[in-house]
Amino acid sequence: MSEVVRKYIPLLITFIVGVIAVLDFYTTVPAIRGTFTVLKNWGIVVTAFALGVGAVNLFRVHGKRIAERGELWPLSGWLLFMLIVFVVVGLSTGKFDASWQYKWIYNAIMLPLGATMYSSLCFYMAMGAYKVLRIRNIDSLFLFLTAIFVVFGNTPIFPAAFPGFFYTREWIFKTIISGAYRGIRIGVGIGAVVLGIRTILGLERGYLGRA
Amino acid sequence: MVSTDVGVWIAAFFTIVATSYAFRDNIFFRFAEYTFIGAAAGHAIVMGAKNVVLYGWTHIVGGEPSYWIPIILGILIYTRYHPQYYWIYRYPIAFLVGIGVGISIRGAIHADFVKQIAATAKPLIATTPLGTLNNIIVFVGTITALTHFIFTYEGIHRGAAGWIPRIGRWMMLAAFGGAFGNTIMTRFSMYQGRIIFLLRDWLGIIH
Repeated sequence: MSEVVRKYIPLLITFIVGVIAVLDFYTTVPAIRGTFTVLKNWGIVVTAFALGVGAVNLFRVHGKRIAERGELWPLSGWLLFMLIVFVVVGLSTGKFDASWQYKWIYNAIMLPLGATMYSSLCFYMAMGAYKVLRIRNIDSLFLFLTAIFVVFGNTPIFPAAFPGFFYTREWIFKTIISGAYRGIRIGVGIGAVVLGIRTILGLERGYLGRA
Repeated sequence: MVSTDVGVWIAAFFTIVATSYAFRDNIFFRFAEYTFIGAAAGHAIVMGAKNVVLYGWTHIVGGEPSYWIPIILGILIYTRYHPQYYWIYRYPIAFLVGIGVGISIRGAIHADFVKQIAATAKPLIATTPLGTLNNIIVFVGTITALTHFIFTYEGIHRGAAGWIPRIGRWMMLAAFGGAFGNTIMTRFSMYQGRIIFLLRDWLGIIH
C-alpha cells in the first residue's frame, strides 16, 4: 500500500498529465483541449509555489552562515535583506511588479546588475577565444575561420572597409550554421522525444528523489 | 550634466562594481553578487505570487473551486523538508514533470523534428548557381551532422563511410565557431549598452 501511494500514484499522475498534454496537440477533442488548458493554469500555479522552495533554501543556507558567523556572513544578511525588500515592496502594494515603488527598485538594482553581469562575460569569452581559436589541427581551423569572419562581420569598421565580411558572415549563418544546427536539432529532438516517452511510461524516475 | 536621480546613481554604482570582477575578484563585486541573488530570488517570489493570484485565486473567486487543487499541490511541495512525510512532495513534482514532459515532447516532435526535416527536404536546384550551392551545403551539413550522432552502429565512424561523420564534425565545428563569434559580439554590444548608460544617463557626457 505505502509503495503504491509513495511511488506508483505519482508515476500515474505523470503519465495521465503527460498524455493529455501530448494529445492536446494532436487532437481537436474539446474535452482534451479544455482539460489541458486547466492543467496548464494549474501548472503555472504549482510552479509559482515551487519558486518559494528556492527562497526557503536561501534562508536555510544563509541563515546557517549568519548563525555560525561563517565567511562573508554580513553579505549573507544583506542577501536575505534584499530578498525581503523585493518581496515586501512587491506584495505590500497589491500591484506586484506594476507599482512605481517596485519599478524603481527593479530599475535601480535588478536591471543594471542583471544586464552587467550577463554582458560582462564578454571579457572572459574574449580571453577564452584566445585559447580556443588557436589553430592546432584542421578541426580548430574550421572553428577559427567562421568565428573570425562572424566577429569581423559584426563590427562596423570591417564591413565598412571590406563589404565582403558582411556577406560572408550572412552566408555562414544561412548555410553552414543553418545546416549543421538542423542536424543537431533533429538529433536533440529525437533524444527529447525518447526521454519524454520514457518519463511518461515511468522508466525514468529520477524526479521522485530518494527512495 | 550629471544625473541627480538617486536611482540612476544606484544603477551606475552596481554597473561599475559588477564590472570590477573583470579585473579581479573583490569585495565590491561580492556585494553586487549577493545583492543580485537576493533581488532575483525576491523578484521570482513576487512574480510567483502574481501568477498564483492571476491563474489560481482569480479562478477560485470566479466560481471554479477546482483551482484549489494546484494551490494545495503547491503547498505540498514544502513537505520535502519533513523527515517523515517528505514523499508527499512527489505528487506536485510528478504533476509538473508530466506537464513539462508532455509539452517538450510535442514541441520536440513539431519544431525539432518535423519542421527541420521539412525545411531540409526541398529541391536542391535553385534559380541561381549560388542558391543551388547553398542548398547543397545545407543538405550535406544536416545529413552529415546527423550521422555524427549515430552511436548504435560503429561502422559509420570507421572505414569507407568514415568521411561522412567527419564532414559532419567539421560542419558542426564551423557552426560552433560562428555561434561563438556571434555570442561574443552580442555580449559586447550589450556591454556597450551599459557603457552608454554610464556616459549618457549617469554622467551626461553624451546625448
